[in-house]
Amino acid sequence: MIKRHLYRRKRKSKNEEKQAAENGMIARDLQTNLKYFKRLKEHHADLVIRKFKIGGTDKNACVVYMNELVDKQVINNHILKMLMVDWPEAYSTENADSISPAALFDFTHDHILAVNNVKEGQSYSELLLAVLRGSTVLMIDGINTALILDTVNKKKKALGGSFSEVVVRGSNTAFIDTLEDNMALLRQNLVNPDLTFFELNVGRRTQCRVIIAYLNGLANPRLVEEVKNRIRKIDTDQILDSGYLEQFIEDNPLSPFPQLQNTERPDRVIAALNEGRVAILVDGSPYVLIAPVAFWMFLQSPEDYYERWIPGTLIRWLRYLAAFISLFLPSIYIAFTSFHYGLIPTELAISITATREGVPFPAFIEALFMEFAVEILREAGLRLPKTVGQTVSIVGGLVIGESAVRAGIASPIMVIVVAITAICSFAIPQYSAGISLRYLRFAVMSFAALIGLYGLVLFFLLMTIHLVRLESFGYPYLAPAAPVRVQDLKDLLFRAPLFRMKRRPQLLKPEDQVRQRGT
Amino acid sequence: MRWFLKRKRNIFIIYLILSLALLTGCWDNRDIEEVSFNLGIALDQADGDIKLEGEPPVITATFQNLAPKVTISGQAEIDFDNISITGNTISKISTELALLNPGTIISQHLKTIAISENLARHMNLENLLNDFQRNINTRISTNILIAKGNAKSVFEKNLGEKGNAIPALKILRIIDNDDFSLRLLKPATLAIVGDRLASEQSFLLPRVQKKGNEIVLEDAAVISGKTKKMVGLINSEEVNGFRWLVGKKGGGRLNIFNRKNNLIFTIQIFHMSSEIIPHVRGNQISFDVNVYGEGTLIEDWIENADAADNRFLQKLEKEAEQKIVYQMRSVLYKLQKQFRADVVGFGEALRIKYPQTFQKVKQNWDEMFADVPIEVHADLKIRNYGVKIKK
Amino acid sequence: MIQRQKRQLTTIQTAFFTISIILGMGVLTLPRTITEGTQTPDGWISVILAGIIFLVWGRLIILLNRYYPDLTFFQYMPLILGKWLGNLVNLIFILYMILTASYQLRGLSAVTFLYLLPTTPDMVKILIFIFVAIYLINGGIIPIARICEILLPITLIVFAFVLLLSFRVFDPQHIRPVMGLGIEPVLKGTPGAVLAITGFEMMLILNAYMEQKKQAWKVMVASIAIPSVFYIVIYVATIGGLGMDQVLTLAFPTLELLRSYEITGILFERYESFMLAVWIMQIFTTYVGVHYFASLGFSQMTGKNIQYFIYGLAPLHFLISAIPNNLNEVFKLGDIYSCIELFVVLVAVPAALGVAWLKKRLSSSWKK
Repeated sequence: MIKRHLYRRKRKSKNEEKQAAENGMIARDLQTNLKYFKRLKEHHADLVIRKFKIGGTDKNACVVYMNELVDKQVINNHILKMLMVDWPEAYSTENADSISPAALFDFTHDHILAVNNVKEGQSYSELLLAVLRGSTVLMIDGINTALILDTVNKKKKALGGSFSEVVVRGSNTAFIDTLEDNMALLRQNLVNPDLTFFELNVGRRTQCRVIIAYLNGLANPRLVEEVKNRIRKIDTDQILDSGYLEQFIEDNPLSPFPQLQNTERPDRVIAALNEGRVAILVDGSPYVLIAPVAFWMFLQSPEDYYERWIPGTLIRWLRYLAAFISLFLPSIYIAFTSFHYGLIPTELAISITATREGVPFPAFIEALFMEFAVEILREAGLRLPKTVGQTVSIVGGLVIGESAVRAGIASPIMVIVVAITAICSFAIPQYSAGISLRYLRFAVMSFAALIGLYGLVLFFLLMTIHLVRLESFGYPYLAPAAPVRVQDLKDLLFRAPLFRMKRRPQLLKPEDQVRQRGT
Repeated sequence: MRWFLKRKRNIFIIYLILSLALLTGCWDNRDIEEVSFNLGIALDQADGDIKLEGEPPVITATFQNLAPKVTISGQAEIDFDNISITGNTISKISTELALLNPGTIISQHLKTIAISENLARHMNLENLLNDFQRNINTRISTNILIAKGNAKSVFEKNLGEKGNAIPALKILRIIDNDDFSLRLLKPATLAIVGDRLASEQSFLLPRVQKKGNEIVLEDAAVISGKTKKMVGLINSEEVNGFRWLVGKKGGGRLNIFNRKNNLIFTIQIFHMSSEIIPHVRGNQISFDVNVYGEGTLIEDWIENADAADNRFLQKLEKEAEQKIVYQMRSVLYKLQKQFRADVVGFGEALRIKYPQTFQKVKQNWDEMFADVPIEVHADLKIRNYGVKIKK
Repeated sequence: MIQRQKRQLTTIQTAFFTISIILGMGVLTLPRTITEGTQTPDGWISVILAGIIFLVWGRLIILLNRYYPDLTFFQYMPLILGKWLGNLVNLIFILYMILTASYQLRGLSAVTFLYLLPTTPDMVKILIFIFVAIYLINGGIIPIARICEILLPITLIVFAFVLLLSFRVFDPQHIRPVMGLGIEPVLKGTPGAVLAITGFEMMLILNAYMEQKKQAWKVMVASIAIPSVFYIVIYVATIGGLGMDQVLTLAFPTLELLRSYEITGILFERYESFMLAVWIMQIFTTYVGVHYFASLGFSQMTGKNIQYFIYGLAPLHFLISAIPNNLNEVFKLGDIYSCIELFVVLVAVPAALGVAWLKKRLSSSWKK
């Protein structure tokens, strides 16, 4: 064993270069390293290799960076200028030979480079990844360690308003595409040493940075561990958006309901963190995931808490009603007009009969046709440029509604039903939840068209069963309604006054239960 | 079996799809415009010979069905059809109706059943209404009335009228005036009639008639709980007395027209209540009725009227109380002596106060009722006299 | 999964579970079945009486459970009465649950036939119902309890709402006088009331799954008291609205009560659809409860996987539900299963309690 070890040491000096290259470690010799990067340049036109001599010495050095990703000001003023022009006399030609490469390296690191974030790297893959992410690599001849200098100048948008979750009162700042800025937004608004950012890299071909944020000492450690484990288990090419991640880590991918909340509002994330939940930030995505979630969270808006509690409560009820209507109204209409005429008021029955006189289709087909039209209009309005989109939806809505009635394809009451349904479905503050209710609506409609009210009830049961069986990261999805946590109900049935909400949601089992002492 | 359990999710999904496929029948799915709503039924004695009980009864039923017409402009208009059919039971008639009516008859919106006086006098109401009670499609909130003369005529289209108001519904809207006029009687729903018939109590049904072109609600028919037939009529003035005796909440106008004392005035009653107190001494049953009312003086044709003077108001009150007592006496006389039918609920009062005694007399209560002494007292207060004090 | 699903129920869940099992067909027929006995409007006193009687037996059930707090009825019965006798009692108990399940199915198809879907074949209605139920039962006891937690409040609120609306046809004369003919009619009505409260004995099984077993007595009191109050409200509203004599002539008086009034001017004029919807949900929870417990019973007796019995019992329920020829026989089926239940509760439980007590007594004196 010892003998073998000795043998290897002996060999090492001889074949050092070769072996290092085999291991993917960079060499002492700058030429070897340069050869590696030059070969890369054939495929990466934007790669820049700048070779130079340090100060007045003969020491060769070079910087490697991606031309479009870096802040050239930093490279020119704080790296190249410092190394070439402002190099101290003491370390100039005369003394150069007496200085070992290692000492030179340390001196450069400690005194010369005016760059904030400097790391050391020794393997090609590491350096390459850094270069691809916008760092600059500095290599000095005779040293098998390279310096990774943070010169990233990411292409990004300025901070902007929220797109999909707008509030009237409260900040409308939204997350943007860059991870660092998103982290900054959180740090900035949640100044707390317990705020933990745990980084994981996901993706086989593209390493995507994923940050798991939580409040240490508040979030249940088992929950945090579970989130980390699930993310570690992901094995895929690339994470393009947090939507990818969501689909890989949710509990039941077959379920029509989202099991993680996505939001672009920092205040929502911070509120969740303060309740003991975990947020997942993905580089490149302005949408942050929150886990675990309960069904009701999709029907709540941060504004509920910004407004005073009475309007907050009323608006919340309104939204619950809107969710119910957007799911069930067309099917209730179908069930009552083609099965249970006896259950609607006489006067209404008479006027429905009169308006439906001459409509050739059964109510179900009529509803399907109109719903379909609305969905297409919505989709078209969404994908088109903003200005055109609005015209399309307004014109389309008016024209289709009016002329369908004129042509006798749909009855006026059906148009009203469909319009109310559409408006109600837009009142749901979370887009992803709105989508699921929207396509479940078609399922309810077919149940209602088959067996009327009985089918409606059975569908309601089926959906409720699915929801009570569903879990988000092991936490019941319908909590706190099932299982009942009487404490938490005041934030579900009402929006209790803030001073009444003294405890965090019990269900998450946060380490610290008390949110505030009463005033 | 093991395989089955392993694949249970798949099996389950297959089951669901299968059951959905089974469901393509859509047995009960029928669009609302393809059925025809039956809104009212008028029951008449069939033309020709009058059959007596025991022989097959002959009924003409007139169904008022909703039949919207599409006008040339494409707009649908509410309209109705009347279809008359003669048969001997209600079910038989409705079976006949299916032979000629476009669309299935849906009677869930049946609002009004008008029975002609003739029919009600000869036909056991329990049998006549049995179809509606048993049939799940008829709600027991359906209203029942007696029609003077030909019940069918009540449902006929009023040609002089603009639009197509449906008579079956229009009748019900007249009844909304019941807190304006004491002469109006609310029609009984099938539920109430069912209750009275089941417990063999007598009851009143309002009577509707066609006067000229107008539907008028006037008088009331007395239905005997024993024979379950109509036994007679009380007039509107007596309906007044009946409503005082029952004392349900509501109100109406009390008109006093006393030429002798030159007292002509009207009181709007806004509160009325009554209390029936049974007394049992040995085998002797008697009743006290205390009626209490409050009202506003709304019109007077009296010379030198001075509402600021309490004596004047007391004079009016006394006059009004006499009138109320007179009205109650006259209806009680008719009910006790002429029809022998307790429609007011004296039996109920006795049942509640003296259940044991009532059990004994329950069998022929209506007969006993005819002879029980009843004392009536009225107490009326004029609370208000509008904004005019003196003449 | 971080939180391995604990197979334990909270106190609220247990109570709601039991109440949901109790509320079933009885809701619609109760005013008639009680009045058939009393012939006076005193039925609500019968309900109170039945509740009090059952509280006594509920206490016995709690006492029995205390001997084996972590075992279900099916598991400890053989331990107490011996293998043969114990399993015989278990089989009788399971038979009761199978009949209950079938009765609910048949009642459901009868009521939907009358009020909702006159021409849809019963088979289709029942099969879909069973499929939905199996989807829930497969999830185990926790989702069932959660469903009860969601559906029961909805039921109670909707019922309270529609019964409040029926106040406009309410005539206080109908429910007076109180005990005008003495106590005798009240006693005659008690059997009818007793049959309606069957289901509280599920505590024999549920106790084993409770998180806080000390609360068992509270659960028992709640699950007898809440249905009793509920029934009293229904009874008073129905008799007050329709009159005692008429109630006797109606098959489903509670539903007829809602059909006896219309409230014009509000969006909905007719309210029986609400009641039918929540009533179907209550039938569902009752069915799911007894189906699950019957399967559990078989599984615990034989030691086999519960899945076999869940799928095996479903067609059996379906077949039994098809046996009654008409509504009279359906109601008779209800009487039969109630009698079996009474045997289990009134005979088997006290007997087992006595034997368990004796055994404990003997073994402790043996040790001495």
